[in-house]
This record gives sequence, structure tokens and C-alpha cells, in this order.
Amino acid sequence: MSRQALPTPARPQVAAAAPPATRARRLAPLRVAWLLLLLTVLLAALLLFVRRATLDEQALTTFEAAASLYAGGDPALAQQAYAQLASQGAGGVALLHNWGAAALRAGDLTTAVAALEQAQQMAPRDQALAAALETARAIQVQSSGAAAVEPAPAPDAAPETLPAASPAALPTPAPESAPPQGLAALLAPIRAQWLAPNELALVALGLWVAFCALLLVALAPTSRRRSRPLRVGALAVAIPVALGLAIALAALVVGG
Amino acid sequence: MRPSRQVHLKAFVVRLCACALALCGALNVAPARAQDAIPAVSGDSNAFVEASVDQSEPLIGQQVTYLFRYFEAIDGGQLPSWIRPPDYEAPEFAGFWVEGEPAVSSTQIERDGRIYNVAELRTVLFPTAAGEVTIPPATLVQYDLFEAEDQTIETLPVTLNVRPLPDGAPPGFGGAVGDLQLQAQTDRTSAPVGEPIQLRLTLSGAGNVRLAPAPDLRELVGWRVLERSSDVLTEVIDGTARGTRTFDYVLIPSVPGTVTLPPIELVYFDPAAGVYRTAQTQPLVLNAEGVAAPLEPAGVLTNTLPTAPPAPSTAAATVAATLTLPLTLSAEAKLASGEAVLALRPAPAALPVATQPLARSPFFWSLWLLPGAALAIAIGARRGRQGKGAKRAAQQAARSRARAGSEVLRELPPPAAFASPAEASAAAQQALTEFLQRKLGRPAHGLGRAPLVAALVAQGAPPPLAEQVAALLAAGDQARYAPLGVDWPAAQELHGAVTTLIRELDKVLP
Repeated sequence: MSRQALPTPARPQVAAAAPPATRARRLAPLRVAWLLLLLTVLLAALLLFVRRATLDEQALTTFEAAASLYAGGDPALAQQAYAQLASQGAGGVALLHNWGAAALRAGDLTTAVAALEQAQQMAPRDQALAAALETARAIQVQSSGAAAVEPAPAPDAAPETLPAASPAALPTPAPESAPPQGLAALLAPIRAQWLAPNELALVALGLWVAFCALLLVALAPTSRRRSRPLRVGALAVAIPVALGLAIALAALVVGG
Repeated sequence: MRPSRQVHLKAFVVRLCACALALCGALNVAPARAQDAIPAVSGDSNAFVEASVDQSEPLIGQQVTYLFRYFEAIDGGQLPSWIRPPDYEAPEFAGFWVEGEPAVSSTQIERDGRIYNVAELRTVLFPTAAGEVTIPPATLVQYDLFEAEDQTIETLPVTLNVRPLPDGAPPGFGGAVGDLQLQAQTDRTSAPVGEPIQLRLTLSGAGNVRLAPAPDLRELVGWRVLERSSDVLTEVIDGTARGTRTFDYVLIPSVPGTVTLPPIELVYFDPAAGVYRTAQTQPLVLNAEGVAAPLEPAGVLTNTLPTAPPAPSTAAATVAATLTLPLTLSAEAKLASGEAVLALRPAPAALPVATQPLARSPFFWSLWLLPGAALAIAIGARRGRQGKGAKRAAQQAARSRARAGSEVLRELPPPAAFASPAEASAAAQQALTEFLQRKLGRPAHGLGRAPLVAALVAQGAPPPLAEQVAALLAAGDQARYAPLGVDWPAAQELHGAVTTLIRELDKVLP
């Protein structure tokens, strides 16, 4: 009797040979994980939808009335109307731009620059807005230079125009400071020229979801040889995605 | 529209005036003034209020005076109300432009045989839309020292039928209504090319000049006409709203020469005469000196065609050719020249609500937890699978070890099945070796006698059994490799000993 006649001990069964019920149980946690990713996307979409709330028709009428005042040569009153809208909770690029335009025409350069800066943050790729902000800043610089050499007006002098609207609803203009350096200098163009803060936040969230999805693909339980390139590819794509995620998060945090 | 306001102090003044008139005996009892609209009266016979308008069917933009009256009977037996005057709350004048503050006056009126001290508040209104408009009740709150609660009396609502302006408005009519005049004035009539001339248009007269449109100056050729600012001053004189609105412009000549500013016109509707009229200025002659500007700054209103540009001299042309630098305007000049005028953006379909950035929203950051949780679940599941696999392999190995004895013996044929005693002995020895290998988890061929015994003892086998294993393996070797071989009885004995030993070891070894 040769030795080969003895039976070999049974080996552990491979995953592919598992019964269907067992395989389904094994996939259940991954299904939950994918559902969480899907839920993230849906909630982000819901967040965007909720944030698109609008004011009533009365506010729109006020907006149009302010434009009429501006066109009628009364920028100070138009500025007050825009300020009133902002105090009522209105926002948007159009409101801030028009507010800045009215303030600029009324001579309230501080409010004009602040409003246009805020509008430019919301729409950094708007070239017309950037040009308007540049004009306002240039006039402000010239005005401040002229004010430095001209005597201050008498305190009891009556103003020629209506008092400017309070810029309390606008962010305080940043004081003159040194240009950003290091990481902040590298990340500044992302915020200033490419993406609005909300866009940047959504891009970061999207990269995070993509990164997690790629890792889920790489961690998927399968022993099939043909799925190995898929895993390697997922990991290869996850590396640049992680890099982009880090940059986006840094820009989001550095930019405040 | 302006919000309703409480006129507390003015009512107090009215009350003082009325009391002073009564005390001095200077009774000037006036009959009730006829009104176009029926007064809306509310209250009792001692104190009541009424509201009325002087025109029940005004035109759009035509002045309407809303009259609120508070009647208080002299013989009403009431305490002096000036101790704490009542509060007047104006109604919401929806559909009207409210001009200024209400004008307050007082008088005495005889009505139904009784004399009343009357406080009057006149509010100047300008209808802004045609159709039937209802002014809601005005409210007066009375305070009484002996009453626990304040007494509120209201007028009845007043309804007006606002008529639209008649058809046939001439071109250029922008909605101005009243009796208006227009004047033009410049700070100088001559200026070098590129230097501004200030032009002020003054629109004045009876009516709501605040709503009057700015005159259009875009037809001035060869000059940049830039709107700078506007100012309004209004007042109510003898119940009629009058105002002055100034429009300041900057005129900048682009080329030298003399140009005549044509009469500037403003079309308005005169409600008294019921016709459209045109107010216009006198023509102005302006002169621009010097040479043509080489580069024109940007502006919103630009006309570049000169009327009659004189031929520049050779020297002037040389100077013009050398002026290649762009005009640099000061901040004041930019504001004045209109370079700071930005085109407004159109109204969006819906005005969005200002929201804080997403990065400051806790809900946004909570969304980041979901993908992290998904990742944690996946990693946990993977680790769980790995742990279960190892456990399953260990269990299978244990089961294999437990079945080793029976399986080996089941596969071991009886001695009679072999052709020779040597083969039967070799098969028995091979079966024992296979059994030991599966029990110990490692090959037993290369082990010497002492290590084999030690390994079996370490696995829990009694030392006598371990020694017997070593002896049987040695007997097997002897049977297989001895020169004389082995006979059948010895082979059967070896076979039986191996079978017994495997059964006993299978009981004690794990």
C-alpha cells in the first residue's frame, strides 16, 4: 500500500465556496457603509436645497425700488434700501454688488469696499465683480491719501447728502496687514480666485466621500483574482484624492 | 411707504392749544368744513374721532390730504386730558407715498349744538397705483386716571377710488404730477477740455418732486454728461406739498469748441388743469478750450462726436500726440466724473436669504462623520472576517486531529490484504506515522526517539504510551529493513499493536 492511499486532511474552505446566506451576511456591513455614503450625498443635497430659501415678494419690490432710486440719481437712498434688505436677512451677490455700487456712488467708500469684498467672496470667478472691487479699492486708496493731506472738515458742517447706511451688517474690512506667507500664500488663490467658501466646503466634502468610497472598494471582501487590479486601482486613485482633500481642508481652515 | 407712527407729543400740543383757547374765551367756533368724502366717525358723543380725505377720486400722483380729527366736547365733564394726552397711531397707508410728518392744528367746532375742542392731523399722501384703495382705521388710545384699562377708539376705514392719468401722455413723460418748474444753472460756461463743468437742474413746485424722474441729458453731443447726485427738499405749506429737487451733473468736454446745451425738458401732468405740460430750461452756451483729449476715461454716458471741432494747430497737434499717458483722475474726480458709477445687477427671480458659510454650520461638519462611520464599518467587518477565518481554520484543524485515529485506522487495510509480511508491517508503521503527524501538527519522520517521546508527553500522552510508540516505530523499521525479513505472525502482531496504540493515543491526545 503506497502512502498516497492515505486521505489528506480537509483544508479550510475558500470564500468563493461559502453558501449564499453566509456571503450575504458578510456583505451586510459593506452595504451599510455604502448606504451611509449615499446618505451623505443626499443630506448634502438637502443642505443646499434648504439654504436656497428666499424672501417674499415685498423684499423683491424693495430691491427694485432701490434700483430705481439709484437710476434716479439718489444713491444714498438706494444704499439705505439695500441696507434695510440686508437687515431683513436678504443676501446674495446681486444685493451685495448693488449695495456696494450705491455706496460707492454715494461716496461711502468703506461700505462699498466691504460690500463688494463680501460679494467677491461669494462669487470669486465673477470678473465684473472683481473689476468693480478693484475700482472701489483704488478710489478708496486715493481718497484716503487725499484725506491725509487735506484738513478735516468742520465738525458742525452739515452733510450734503443723506447719512450713509450703517455697514453693521457687513463684515468689518480687514485692516491693512502683511500679505499671507507660507501655506496661507499657497492656498490664498483657491479662496480668492477659484472657489467660494461654500463651494470649497462642498468640494472638500465630496473628496472625503470619494476617498472613503475608494477605500471601501479596496476593502471589499473578495478573493477573485480579477478583482485585484480594481483594488490596486482604487488605492492608486485614493492617494491623489487624499492629497486634494488635504489641500481643500487646509484652504477651508486657513481661509476661516 | 413709511410705517405708522405714534404722534404722542403733537397730540399733547394740540390739547394744550385747545385748552388755552377755551380758557381765554377766545372761542372761534367754526362750522364743520365740507369734505368731498363722508367722514368716518367713531366714538361716543363726548369724545370721538373721524377720518376723511379731501379727494375721494384723486389721480395717480395727485396730492390727497388725510385728515384725522379728535373731537372732545367742552361740556363732556371729562378730566383735563392734557395730564396724559392720548396717543395717535396712524393707519398703514398702503398704496400711497407719505410725504413728511402729519401737520398738527387745533380748533373748535360746533356740531349738533355742542362745542368741541378738535385736534387735527393732516397727512399728505400721493397715490401710487390706480384702483380702489382703502385706508384702514386710525387709532387713538385714551388714558384715564380712574379707569383700569386704556380706551381705544378707531376711525372707520376710508375708501378712495384712485384714477389713472388720462391717455395721451407726450413722449418723455415719466410720471411727474404737479405744478412744476425746471431751471438750469452752471458754475461756469467755459472750461478747458477734460475739466468738468458743474450743471445743476432744479425742479421745484407743488407736487411730489421726490418721485419725479431725472431729466435725460444724453443728447448732448461732444460732451461727457455724467450724473453725480440728487437732493430733495420738501415741505408742506398751507396744506400743499411743495418741494425742490436738484440734479447735479458733470459736463466734461472731450473736444474744444462751443456747444449749445439745448433746453432740458421734463414732461409732467398738471392735475389742476387736467393736461400734460412740459417744463423746460433756457438753452446754455458752453465753451471748451484747449486741445482734444488724447485718451478718454471710461464713463457710463459718452458721446464722442464733436459738434464743430476746430482744426488744431500744429503745435497743439504735437502736444496732443505726445500725451500718451492715460488720464489719472483723483478719487474725488472719479466720483464726480462717474467713473465710480457701476451698473447695477438686475433683480433676481427671488431674493435669497443670507446664510452663514457652510464651514460654520455644525450640520455640515456632522456630515463628515457619515463617511467616516462607513469606513469604520468596512474596516471592522474586514477584521471580523479575518478573525473568523482564523478561528474557523483552528476549529477545522482540531476536528481533523480529533478524527485522526479513526480515519487512519479506517484507511489501514488488514494484514491479509497485503502481498507480503513486509508490506503489511510497512503499512502499519506508515499509519502510525501519519497518525502522529496529524496529532502533533508536524512531520514525525525526522524526529529521533527522544524528541518524539518528549513531544508526545508534551501533548499529554502518558510516558509508557510514548515509549511504546517509539518501540513500535523501531519494530516497524526492523521488520521492513531486516535482512531476514519478517514473517506473517510478526507482521500481524505489529499490525495489532499499532491499531491498539492508535486507539489509546486517540483518547489521550487532543
